[in-house]
Order: sequence, then C-alpha cells, then structure tokens
Amino acid sequence: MRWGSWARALEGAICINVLLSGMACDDDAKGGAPKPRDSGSNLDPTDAAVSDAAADGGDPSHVSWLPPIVKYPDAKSTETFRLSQTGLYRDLAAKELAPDLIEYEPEYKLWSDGAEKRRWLRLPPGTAIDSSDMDHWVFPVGTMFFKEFSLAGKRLETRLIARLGPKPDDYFMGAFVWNEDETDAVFEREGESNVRGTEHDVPETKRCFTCHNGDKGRALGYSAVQQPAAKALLSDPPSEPYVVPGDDVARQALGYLHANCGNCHNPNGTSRTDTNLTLRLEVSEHSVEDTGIYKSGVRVDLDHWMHKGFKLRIAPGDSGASAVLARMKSRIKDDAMPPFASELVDETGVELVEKWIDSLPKAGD
Amino acid sequence: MRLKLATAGVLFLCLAAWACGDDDDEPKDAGADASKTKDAGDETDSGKPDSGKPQTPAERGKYLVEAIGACGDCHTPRLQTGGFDTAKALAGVDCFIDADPTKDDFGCLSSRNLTNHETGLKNRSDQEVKDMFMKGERPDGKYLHPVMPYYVLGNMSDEDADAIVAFLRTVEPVDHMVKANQAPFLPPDAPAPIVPKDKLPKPSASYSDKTAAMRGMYLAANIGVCMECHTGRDEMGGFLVDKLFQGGNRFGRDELGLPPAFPEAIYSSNITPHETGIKGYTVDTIVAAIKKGVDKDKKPLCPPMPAGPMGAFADITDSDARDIAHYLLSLAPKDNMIPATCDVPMGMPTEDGGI
Repeated sequence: MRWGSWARALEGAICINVLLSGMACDDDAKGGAPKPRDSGSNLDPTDAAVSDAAADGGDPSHVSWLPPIVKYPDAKSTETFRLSQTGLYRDLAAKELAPDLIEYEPEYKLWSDGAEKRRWLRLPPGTAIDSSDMDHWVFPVGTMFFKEFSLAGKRLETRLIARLGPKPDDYFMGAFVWNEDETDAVFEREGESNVRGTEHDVPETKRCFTCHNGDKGRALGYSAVQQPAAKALLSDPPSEPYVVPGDDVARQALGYLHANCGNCHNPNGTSRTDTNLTLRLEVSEHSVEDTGIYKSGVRVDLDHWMHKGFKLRIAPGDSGASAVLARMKSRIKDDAMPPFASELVDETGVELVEKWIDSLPKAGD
Repeated sequence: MRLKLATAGVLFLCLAAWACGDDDDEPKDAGADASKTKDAGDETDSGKPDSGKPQTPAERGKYLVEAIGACGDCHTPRLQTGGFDTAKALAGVDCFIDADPTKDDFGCLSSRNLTNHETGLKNRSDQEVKDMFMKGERPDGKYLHPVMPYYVLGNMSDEDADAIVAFLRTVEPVDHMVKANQAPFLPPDAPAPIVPKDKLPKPSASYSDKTAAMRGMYLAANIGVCMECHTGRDEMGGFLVDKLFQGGNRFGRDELGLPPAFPEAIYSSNITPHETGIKGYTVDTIVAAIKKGVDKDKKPLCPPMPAGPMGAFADITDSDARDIAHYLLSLAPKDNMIPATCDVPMGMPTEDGGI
C-alpha cells in the first residue's frame, strides 16, 4: 500500500497529512481541510515534503516516496550497515532529504563541543506521539530520530534512534560515521575517535543508552519542554505550551540544565542510583522554586563528590561555592560533568548557570 | 575493615565458580532451558530442579542468583539477628564494607540495589545489567570496584546471563539509594580483567566421570562461585589466574564480623586434590562440604563459606553439587599449602555455615 492510499483510508480518523505534508489538523477539525501549521512549528517550510504536498493542495497521495524497510543489525551482526539504508535521504548523492521527515530544533540545545547539529523525526504514517503523560512522550513503534553532527561544514556523524518494538529495550541506537567524500556513512558499533581529522569523537553504541534510557520515550530533545510547538503531532495536546519559569536568566539556566544534565539527573535517569539531584524540568513546575532543579539543588548538601571542599550542590548567590557549576567547568576524570561525550567546557552554558546562581538571593538576603 | 555480615556469617561471595566447558573447550549453558541444553552429547542439568521440570529463564536466574551466585550475601541487608532482611532482598547494603569506621569520609563501599526500582536496575537495559555483572562496566562509563567478582562471572553463557536479568526483573522494588563509595573503593581506571577462558582448569582426561566434571566446571569455574574465594591474590590485589582453585585468599576475622574466638585471618582452602588440598575427599564428602558446611571429618567449615543450612549453597541441587565435586576431584593436584587452617571455635552456633 502506498502512503497516499493509506492516508486516504485513515482520512477522518487520523490527520495523517501532517506527517507527510507538514500540514496540521485542528483538534476540532478532524476530517476537515488541513491548514498550515502554526508559525512556531518545527517544520521547515522549505522541506521537500511541504513543497511536494503544497504543490498538490496538501494531498500527499502523489508523494512518490516510500521509506525503505530497514534491516537493523542485531548486537552480534558484523554486516555493514549504512546510512543510505535508513531512508534519511531520498537522494543521498544530492543530499536530498526524504520528504516525510520533520526537521526540528530543541528549545534548549545539548552542548556537543561546538558541533553543529541538524535533527529530523520520522513518524510512521497515521500515528501520533503519545503525550498522555506530558512529561514523558512516547513515540510509536517505527519512529526514527536522526541527528547529524558537523564541524565547519564537514559532516562527521549521523545518529539514529529507531523504535523497533513495544518493549523498553526495543530500540536501535547508533552512530553512522561519514566517509571522506560524504557519499555515505557507516554504522560504527564501537564508535570512532577524532573523526575526519577533527577532535570529534563518535560514541560507541552502548553509551547511547546511558543517556537515552533517561526517559521512556528515549528521544531527549523532543519533549514538552523542548518542543512547545509540537501540538499537532500529539495524542493529547496541551491547551497551552509549557514555558520554563523565571526571568530570562533563570529560564535560560534551567533550560540549559534540563537539556544538558537532566537526561541522567532525573528520577528515571542513570544517575538516580547514586544521587537524587534532579535537573530535568516537568510541566507542572511553574515557578523557579517549584522546580526539581531548585528543590534538589539549591542549598542542598552534597552526598557525593565531597572531597574537593564543596558543601552544597548549588549555593545561592555564590556560584564559586556550587558543586554543580564546578563540575560543569571540569573535564578531569571523575570530576567532569557530563562524565563523557564532551572534552570541551561549554563556556556559554557555564555562564548561563553561573549568572543564575549568582542571581539567587543568599540566605538572609 | 569490617563487612556487614552475620556474625556467624555466610558471606562474601563464593561467586566464582560456575564455569563450564566441554570437550570442545566451549562452555555450554548448563540449564537455562533444560529442553535444549546438551553438552557434548550429554544433557547438562545444572540448576535444573531435581524433579526434571523445565525451568523458565527467570527460575533459572533465581537459582543462579540465590543458590549458585550467593548474590544476596553481599546485596541483601541483614537484620540485627544476622539473618537476611527478606523485605529488602537484593536492595543493596550501605557501607557493606567499612575500611575505617572511625572516619566518615573514608572506607565505605556499598553493594548496589539490584531491585526493580529507579534506585536499582529498573531503568537499566538488559545489556547494561549484563555489562555490569559480567564486565564491571557501569552505564555511566565508569567501572565497578572488583570487590564485585564480575571478572569471574564474565565467562558464563549468554543464556544464563539473560536468565539472571530475567530474574532480576521480577525482584520486588525497594527504594534504596545506596551511600556513595569512598576511597579506597572509588571506581578503578580500568575493570579487572575477566579470567581468560583458557586459564580455567579442565578435568584431567583420565577422570572417570568426565561428563559430570565438565558440567561441574561450568558451575565452578565459568560462573565461578568457588573460584573467586578459593583463588589467591597478589600483593596488588590481582587475581592469581595461574593458581585457580588453589586457595590462600585471606579473609580477616574483623572484616567478617566474627567473634574473637576465631583466628585473626581465615584462608580459603586449596580445593584441588593435592595433599595440601582436598585429597581424601570423595564426591559425597565434597557435596556435604558444599551443602552442609562440614569437612570430610564432619567438622564444621569456617566462614565465609556460604554453606550449611542457612547458607546459599544449601540450595544448590544435589546433582549440581555432585557435578562440582566431580570437577574438583578431576583437577590436576596443585601443591599450595595455605598459611593457616581454621577450626570453628567450640561453642559457636551452628545455624549458619555450620558454625
């Protein structure tokens, strides 16, 4: 069955057009004519899908594109697995992306040692993101997330998370390393250091889970906090998008901590076996003092990493006495945060968090 | 240093001896699925209920964790009475080892929470769990301290490793974030190397029941409960892979939390069939040592052998205990006189480990 006919079969029940054309349905307009998504949409209106569909009045049936059936390697497979097999590109040589992809950017970016990144999502036709738990979106089986890393215009790696089945471990996660001519990229289970003459390291596959198991949806940059405009793709869209609380200083710092630290530092994250420090935001948090970040961080005694003279996780008004910031500023083993996947301190991020901590009133202020 | 053990304690892991191998030098899963476990043409039934009823993977895992692995010895907290706190089974023990109880910032090593809770293994993938207990690799890229005998467990079959994970997924969740480890138990720079499979001693070719010995090898060496305690360490703490099963590993009385009537140091026995080891033992007397905690003269064995009615090894099936016995008797005798033997002092209670 072609996507177009599948779409028609589901017409009125599910607004599939959005997946194929970038057009969104109103909650109350199921079966009605699709209308363009909000201007805040994550869809790039120049996407091939939009162009194709727009040319046909939003009817996707003409779209001559079917994503390939991907044969994912199992843990022991030694067969070469190429990015060209995943359907990220319709024409890899021309770097023409597949038309069914949704390009997106998170509100708050993960620091990757200065690498430039592009991100795409592919949802299976006729599906929606399960947002019944607004803090933990779950993506349908068949969903694919791609993230491309480049430096100075040179493609280095493209990562893929694909949900393969219903169980918690039913995911493919891995990184494809681009060749010198950028004609294709190959999945490298063990990762690769200093790719293409840069300092960029591609992580080994098993490291993917360290962070991505931190939320049951596995895709960390696609959430209520990170995608306030994703309403049309959700099973249970919120009436209002979530806004990170606080003034601009607080919002930037909290968002940064959420994106960069909260993937492990949350009640389900990798760090939970060792610490109850929570650096992930939840949509019920509407004031700075409400946030888990504030409650588990500010004026809270350290229970780890106590050998460097620090006493508090976050010392209000005193960034220099705050262990959280000190660890962000370190790249020394056993001190550095994050503990891997970064060799360079994010000076901008440090500054955001530093400003916020210093803006917090000291006790007695 | 003091381990939080029952005073009459079972203890520390004889987690080192489940290994198996066969005539092709390839260890075989000895029983995760009894319906398809064949070892060089012979059915391997280690851990299979004596009734012969097939096990589910979780049942097999439970047997490996509770009986063969004695994992609870370190990972389950104890009550004041010395018995296990079964409401917190496998929930980890804060400062399980405390190298210097007089200091707050030194010497604490906690065993981890293995239950199905966020503070335990709930959110860890199957592969992450296996990488921890078989390779010493933590999900955060750091390594486990080799107090945890992953370097011995790393040779078990994939099927048994999966069975252990399957069982751990069924363990009642307990909310327990264990205390942070302190020096000298901070994560090492590299994991302790897995014992090379070709170092695992094989039954001698002339042994009478080599088939049973091969099954026993899987349990005693590949999974490795016996091997971990009954192998010495070098001055740096390195596992003496050329002296497997030859004993001499030192356990301090105080570390074990034993009363002063015990000798200050207890050394694991040489369990190869040499005069300095278990020569004179039979299959039956070895089985009694494993399951009842008594030597061939029916004298109780000292801790930390987790034998006896209250010890984990009491739940090892008779057939597995016999296979292990065959394996030990089939080994080449190795001359290794351990520094001192241990006699259980008169008047000690006998409910645990035969003491």
